[in-house]
Amino acid sequence: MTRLKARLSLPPLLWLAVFYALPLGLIILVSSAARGTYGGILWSLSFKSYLRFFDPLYLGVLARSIAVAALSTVLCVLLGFPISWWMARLGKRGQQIMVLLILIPFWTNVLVRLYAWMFLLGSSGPFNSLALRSGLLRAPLEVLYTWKAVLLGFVYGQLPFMILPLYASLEKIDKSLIEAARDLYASSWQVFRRVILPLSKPGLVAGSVLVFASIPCDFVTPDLMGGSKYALMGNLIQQQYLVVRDWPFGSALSLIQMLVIGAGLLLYLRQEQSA
Amino acid sequence: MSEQFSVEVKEISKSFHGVTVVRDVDFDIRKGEFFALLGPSGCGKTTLLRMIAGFEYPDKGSIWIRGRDVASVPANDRPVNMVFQHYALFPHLSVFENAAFGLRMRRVPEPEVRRRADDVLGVVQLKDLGPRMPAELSGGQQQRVALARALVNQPELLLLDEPMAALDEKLREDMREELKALQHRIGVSFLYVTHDQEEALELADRIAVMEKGRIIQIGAPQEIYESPKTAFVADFVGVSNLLKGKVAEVEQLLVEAASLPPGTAAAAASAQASSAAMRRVWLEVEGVGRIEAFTGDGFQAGEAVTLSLRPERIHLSTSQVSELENRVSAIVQRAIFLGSDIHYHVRLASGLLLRVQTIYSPIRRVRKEGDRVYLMWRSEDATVLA
Amino acid sequence: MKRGKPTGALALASLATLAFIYLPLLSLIVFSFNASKFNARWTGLSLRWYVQMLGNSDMRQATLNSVIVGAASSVFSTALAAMGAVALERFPWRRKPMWEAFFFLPVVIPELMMAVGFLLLFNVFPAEMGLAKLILGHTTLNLPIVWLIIRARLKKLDPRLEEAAMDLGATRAMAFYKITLPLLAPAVLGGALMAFAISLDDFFISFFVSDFQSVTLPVYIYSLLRFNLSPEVNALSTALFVASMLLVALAFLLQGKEAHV
Repeated sequence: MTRLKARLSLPPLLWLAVFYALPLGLIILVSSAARGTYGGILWSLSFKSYLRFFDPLYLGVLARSIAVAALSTVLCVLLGFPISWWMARLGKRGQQIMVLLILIPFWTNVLVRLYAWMFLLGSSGPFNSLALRSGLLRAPLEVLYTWKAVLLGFVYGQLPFMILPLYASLEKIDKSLIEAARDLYASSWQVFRRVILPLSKPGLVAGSVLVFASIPCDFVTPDLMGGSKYALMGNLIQQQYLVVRDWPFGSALSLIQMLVIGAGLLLYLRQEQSA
Repeated sequence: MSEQFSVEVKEISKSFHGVTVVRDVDFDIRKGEFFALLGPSGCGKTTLLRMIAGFEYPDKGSIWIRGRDVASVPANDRPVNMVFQHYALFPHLSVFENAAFGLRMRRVPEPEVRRRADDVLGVVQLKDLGPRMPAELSGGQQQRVALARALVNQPELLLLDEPMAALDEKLREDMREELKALQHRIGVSFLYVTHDQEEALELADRIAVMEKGRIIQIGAPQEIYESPKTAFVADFVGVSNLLKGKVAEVEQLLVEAASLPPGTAAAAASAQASSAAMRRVWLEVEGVGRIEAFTGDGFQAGEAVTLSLRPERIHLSTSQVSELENRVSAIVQRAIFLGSDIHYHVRLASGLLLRVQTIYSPIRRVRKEGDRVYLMWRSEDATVLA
Repeated sequence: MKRGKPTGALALASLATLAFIYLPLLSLIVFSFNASKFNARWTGLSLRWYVQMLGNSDMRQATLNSVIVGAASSVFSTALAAMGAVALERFPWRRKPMWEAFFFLPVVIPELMMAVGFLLLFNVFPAEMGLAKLILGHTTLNLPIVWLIIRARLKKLDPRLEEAAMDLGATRAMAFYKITLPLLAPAVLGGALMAFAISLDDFFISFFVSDFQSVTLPVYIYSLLRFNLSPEVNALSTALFVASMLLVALAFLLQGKEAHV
């Protein structure tokens, strides 16, 4: 019996050790190495790459990443809350259909999602040409390749991660609680403020963490929607690996990034425990 | 090994992580007997059943089936089969394939598999449902498939693990009747595990009452009911007034069992006890007073005892005059009308609460709350417990 | 379960959000059937961009690569995940939560980190592997998801079913083969399809690990997006969208079927 257990568990465990733990371990190792003359790695133990990060240029990128992530999270909450609440109040069949509708863009390739916007908003795209012809606009709306477009791309891509947990916790709220609050003289706003909002907190926190954590790792959205003009942490890492070929610095950046996300997760777990 | 038993369990014990779940359990089941293992949840009855089935192995002791100690034999090599609590029907196999499973595992030739599986489905009245899938069946039908699947292997002993738990109340009563009739017809020994005393009393030839890993008492349903060995049994099987007291006086003279009024607790006790003789005792019962009773056990004066008094053995009357030996006055606290019966909660002068059960009859008056009544019972109807 | 006054504003806001979600996707799909070469003007229904797409040899090569990587990584990850799930669920483990976390962690780690890790791995231990590098990477990416799907099914399976089989004379191996395996099959198949969908969808690992010979479909689309936006991209994006939907729908269908058992 134990032989069978070993035979079954050894291949996946070995696989994860070699093709999962080892690559992640390499990031740590390489981050303390030095860059070779033509890229590549000179094995050594130094913290140069980490120290390099404390350049206002790179700190600015980190600050901008956090700011963009925070702003996107807030926008996702504002955009996601009404529809989540509406979904939670639909009939069973309606809820199933809506969850499916929210899941479809989630299962759409990130490039297809972004291209859809690039296509729609392009200076000669359907939106502008329709608005111009109908006289709604005088000049084409040049949103694409601005920071607004980057934000739009993030919000669009991350919205399902906000709606689904939020809906899940809103759906669990016993509807008679709202009636009870009404019965006890609460106005609509008070019902929302005193009953719905506190009870939806787990979903709100989970959704926010998911949205916040995934944005700094994305280099495609700033790249395509912002026309490579607005670099975030993800772009910085990608450049260091694939363009500059400074792997030690790229690895150090990756680890710093992980630490920032890890800190966010920790904060979230602390919240969960106190909730 | 004697041929008269389906299984003989000898002194088995089992513990998990240092907690003893079954302790020195010893019993046997006669061929063709309907044997119930009764106890509250967590008493070890399921572990005991699983050891007989072969899913757990006892730490010590032996289990003899068909002349072989199977204590360390795996489940697939034992001539016993089980009806699981929620039936554990294979959801991807049809009713017929479920029934045929055991035969196929033993590589019985195909024509015989067909014949025997069809036969057993006929026995449980599911002949036409062979091609159906388990999910399409009602709860009662699923239970019958589970029975068929086990019985097709012609087991020495059929193990049933709370088979009624998944059914609703009404169906449960029907299935009880059916199960008893089926067992009668096919003559296979049943070991029936349940926490429902009514089920055990109705179905079983003999009942073993378990508490905290031990078997406390084994006997016919009437014996268990009329002369429980401990306060736990008295309370778990049926309802009983359990009164604390002390032995005040023991009469030296022995009473012949034959002279006891038939149908009383004392008569049942003396029938069960090896010594047929009973002794009259007087007890000083807390909150009641001096009470007369009979016991077959050798209690000494001054010993602390518990008196068990079944609610239906107490007569309730407004008149003091009676030929019954024990009498105490009380106030009706609550009268509960239950159709055929009336249950009373009555309070004695000492504040002690007792339950009394009488048969309802429209010509007899129902006592109301606050009525003064007299409770009376024969000395032979109370049981003295250590 | 409608209750109270229908809050019209809420419904309106929700529908607006839905429009926000679907407008870009729908316009992308609609205009992939546009005859005109210019994005904005609708001149009539046509399949010319699909025809042109099929005639594009770069695109065909990328599709072939994606399918090979998807199929291979799906098979590998499903086999490994099934082994891991059965081993963890059906045998006693000390510190089981720790081992489960080990299997689960790749889901939590951002994909970019895994992509970076693979880049380093294949450079520190260089080997001429081409597509094999992608297959290795995607297998790791898929493994935890398939593991979760199969494990969920195993957890739902009543362990008494195997006991019942053994009670009826089956050996342990026989009980697994006759009872557990058939009941697990939908989850295994669903997991494999899901793995294929994830692999087909993946951009990050492919982008960091692939070279000119091993371009996958998303990497190919990315290169198109940076240099020329033509209606052909609409057609290609629509095709990828439809393929992802079909795979995911099939995977969910299989898991939905098991829910009825």
